[in-house]
This record gives sequence, structure tokens and C-alpha cells, in this order.
Amino acid sequence: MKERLTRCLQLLKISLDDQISKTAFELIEKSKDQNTTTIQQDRDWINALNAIADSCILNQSTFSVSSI
Amino acid sequence: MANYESSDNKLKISYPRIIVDIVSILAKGVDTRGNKIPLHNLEHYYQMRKSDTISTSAIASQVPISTATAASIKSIESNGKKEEPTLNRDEESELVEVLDKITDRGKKDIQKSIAKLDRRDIERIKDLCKNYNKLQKYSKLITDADNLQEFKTALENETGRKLSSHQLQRAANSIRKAKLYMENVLDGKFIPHGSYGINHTKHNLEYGYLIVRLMQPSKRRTMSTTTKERT
Repeated sequence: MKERLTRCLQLLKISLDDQISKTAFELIEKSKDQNTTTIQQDRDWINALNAIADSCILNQSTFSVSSI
Repeated sequence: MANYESSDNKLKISYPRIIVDIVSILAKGVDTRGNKIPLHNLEHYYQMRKSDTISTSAIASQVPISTATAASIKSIESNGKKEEPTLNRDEESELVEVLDKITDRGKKDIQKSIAKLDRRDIERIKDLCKNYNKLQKYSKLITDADNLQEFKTALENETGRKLSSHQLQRAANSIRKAKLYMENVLDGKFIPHGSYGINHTKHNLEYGYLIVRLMQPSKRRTMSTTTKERT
């Protein structure tokens, strides 16, 4: 899951040191703890993107048009 | 998306989340909260998410949505309902007057019903009542013309843009049911379904009014309120 998230962040050109990335990794960790048995392979991409989207909300960050 | 740069900042912040939900629906038929959304309803869902973001953003922005549940969404909605109605005395008596004409109920009954409504529903009903003359004109066109051509021309002249046959049908359906819509809102009969907490019949009818500008989108309303507050 972390690999997928890292790939998504790379595609969005968001540095791993950025606060958005840090929060996204924290969210992924939390969701892993909650759903260890139900995480499905084909939902991993969506979960990774979801963590980034939630991280944007928590950090009150916006994307550029190209990132969107 | 064309207006992304000029969008409200709150909407921009929530945009990634809306996109992920749309992707999830396209891939799996459910959004990230697990709500089943039929594909034919996707556009409506997208528009609703955008307008809901604007209207609830003040509260929603503080809630990490990854942990959002039906309960937390409901609490966002009910928090919205606690807002004070924005009608002054003149506006209220005008509104009651028109609603009395449309629904043929007693003024006291209407006042009681209005008192129970949340701010957003009052604004929606107010918009329709303001456009009562147009509503009557369009209803007459739909009934008399027996085809939608004259109705289409009238709407396109009014809105200044071309309307697809789908939009036309949606608008005609909403206009036909305007009285029913208002009565159901007054009676609180539009009960939200599912964990997303919206009533699809109500929102479909509202979409029809939005198309022909008989109702203002929440976003524009929020912006005009903000502008008024600033001036």
C-alpha cells in the first residue's frame, strides 16, 4: 500500500518530505490498522489516492489544475 | 473543471476527494464511504458533492473525511439545520403570500411549516416563489404546446444558452411537479435515504430548477451572501 501511495505522490510531484505526504502516510497507516482483513488489492490505488485527498483537506491544501 | 482556478477555495480543497469518489464509483459502483451510486446518477452525484461542499464546508473542512461515517455526515447536515433562517418580516410575508396562492393552505399553517425548515430549504422555496410568474408561464407552455418546442425557445431565450433534450425533459418534469415539490418541502416529506443523507427525488427536481435558473445554485448563493456581508 505504501508503495502505491509513494507512486501516486511521485506522479503528483509531491515531495515525500511535504506535509501532505506525511499526513497521507499517517492516514494509510490508520486505515491499515482498521481494515487489515478487508483491504483489497484492486482498491489499493483508490485508497492511496484517498489518503492524499484527505491529507489535502486536513492540511487545507489545494492542487493546481494540472495536478487535478 | 473549466472554472477550477476561479472556484471557491473550500471547493478546491475538497476537489481531490470528490474526484477519488467519482473514480471509485466508476471502478466499483460505490464511493469511498461505501455508498452505492448508480452510474446514471453520477453527474447528479458530482454536482451534489460540489454544492454540498460549498454549503457545509465550514464544518466539513474540520472533519477528516477518511474517518467520515454516516453519523458524522448526518451531524454535519443537522448542524446546518440549526442555522437561523435568513428571512426578514417582509420577505416572510411575501413568501407566505405566494405559497398560500400555490398550495391553497392557510397562512398560519404555512408559517408553521416555514418555521420548521432549514435555511437552505427556505432559500430554495424563496427562489421558486420569486420566480412564480415564470413558473406559471412555463407550466402553461408545457400544458398548451403539447410539444416542447415553444417551451424550449422560451427557456433558451431566458437562460441565453442552448439546452439539450435531456435538460429540457428534466426542467419540464421539475416544473410540472413544482407544487408537489413545495408541498413536500413544507411537510418535510423528503426524507433523506442512505448513508449519504440526501433525498434523490428532491435533488432531481432541484436539478431541473437549477437548469432553467428558477433556483440559484448554493455556491452562487453563498458567494452573494459573502459579498453582501463584505459590503
